[in-house]
Formats: sequence, structure tokens, C-alpha cells
Amino acid sequence: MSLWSKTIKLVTGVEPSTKVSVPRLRKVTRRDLIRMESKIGATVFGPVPANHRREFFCLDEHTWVWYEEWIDETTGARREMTTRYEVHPHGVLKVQDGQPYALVEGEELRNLAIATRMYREQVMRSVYRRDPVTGQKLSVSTGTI
Amino acid sequence: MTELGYRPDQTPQGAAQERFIFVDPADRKGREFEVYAAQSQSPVRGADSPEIYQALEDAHNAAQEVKREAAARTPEQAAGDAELAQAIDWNAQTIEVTREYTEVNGF
Repeated sequence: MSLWSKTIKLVTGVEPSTKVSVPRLRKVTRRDLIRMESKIGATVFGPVPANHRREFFCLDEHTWVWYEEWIDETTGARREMTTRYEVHPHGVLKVQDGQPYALVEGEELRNLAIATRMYREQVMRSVYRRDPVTGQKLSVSTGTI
Repeated sequence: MTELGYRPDQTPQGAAQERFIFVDPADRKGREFEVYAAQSQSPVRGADSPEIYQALEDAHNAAQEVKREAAARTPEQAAGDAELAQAIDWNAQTIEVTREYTEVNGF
């Protein structure tokens, strides 16, 4: 018996267990993760205006969702808009409530590409604590620099 | 009519499967969609709701519009857009893989 074990037994009267007990955390769900990601996603298009609520997240491996909710200053009514971006082999399709389907092109497509890249980089670092390029776990020191 | 997103496995509960032959053009290849759309030209058994025909027509028009827009792009534009689409997809796939891993294994 080591000196440490003897000391513990002397103080507590119980022989210390050699097994390390790890507290069991609640299992994280997909919904939890998307919620965490969306908080970061909301910022990649710039500051959220007052009286607005924004969510931007990756729904699945081919779909991105932008949700914006705001109060109409003239009527005081709550407004909302959901935009779904679906990635297809030859382009990105934009689907909005009440709007015809449209291919995303030009500046909008470039901005979307930049936004998704920022999302990946920030989410990988801040939510998953991983290097956005290699996918490797970030060490504590790397993550704080 | 904006609810065009019904796929065969997503029909509203209680609805007969054959009534909902329209599909989301965003999720289908054009050819496959046209096969579905073509069925609207002849009476569909049990499909007596004008809303279904309207949805079919809307979906068909939407698919045609997308095809027209895609065809109007120059080869350079199309290549550039495809490259950006791939980059966007790669970002999503990276997140999805990491998310699935984390769901199973934790952080």
C-alpha cells in the first residue's frame, strides 16, 4: 500500500479505490449540437440588428438553413423568414417561403461560401474543440491562443 | 402553394400514398421529376383534390425555372458555381461527420 493510500485510509477510514470514476454527463443530442452551432452561425453574416433573432446552421450534409425573425417597426407585427440552401452537384438552390426556387449565383453564392467556411472554422474550434483543417482535437494551449 | 416538399416517405399522416405523387424538385433529378409530373397529365386514382394538381403544376414550373436558369449560365459561370457549391458542401460534410462522432462519443 502506497503512502498516499495509507494517508487516505488513515483520514477517511476507508481504503481508497484504485478505479477512477468519471462523472457521467448527459448524452449530447443532435439538436443540442445544432443549437450550439447556430449561436455561432448567427454571427457569421455580421451583427444581428436590434429586435432581430437570427439562426444560421448546417441542417445536414447538403442543407443550410437561415432563419430570421424580427418585429416590423411600422405594424409591430412579428415577421419571420426561413431560407433553405440546398447544395446540388451543379449549384446551390435557394428555397424561401412563398418564393419560387432559385439558383444562388454571383455575390450571394460567394457570400454563402464564405459564411459556411467561417461557420465550419468557428464551430469546429468553439463547439467541437477541433482543428478546422485537420479535425484533430485542439490541445488546451492551442485553443487559447 | 408552397408545400412542395412531400417525398414518398413524408406524406401527411392518413393520406393515401398514391395521392401524393408530387415531389420536391430540389431533391430530385429533373428527369425523375418529369416522370412524376407527367403522371399529372392523366387522372390519378384517388387524386381528386385540385390542390394536388396545383402543387404538381407549381413544382413542375419551379423545376423548369431552375433548369432554365442553369442553362443560361456560361460554362465559366457554371464551373465557378459548381466549385463554390462543392466548397459549401465540404463545409457541411465536415460538420456533419464531426457532429455524428460527437453524438456517439461525446466531446
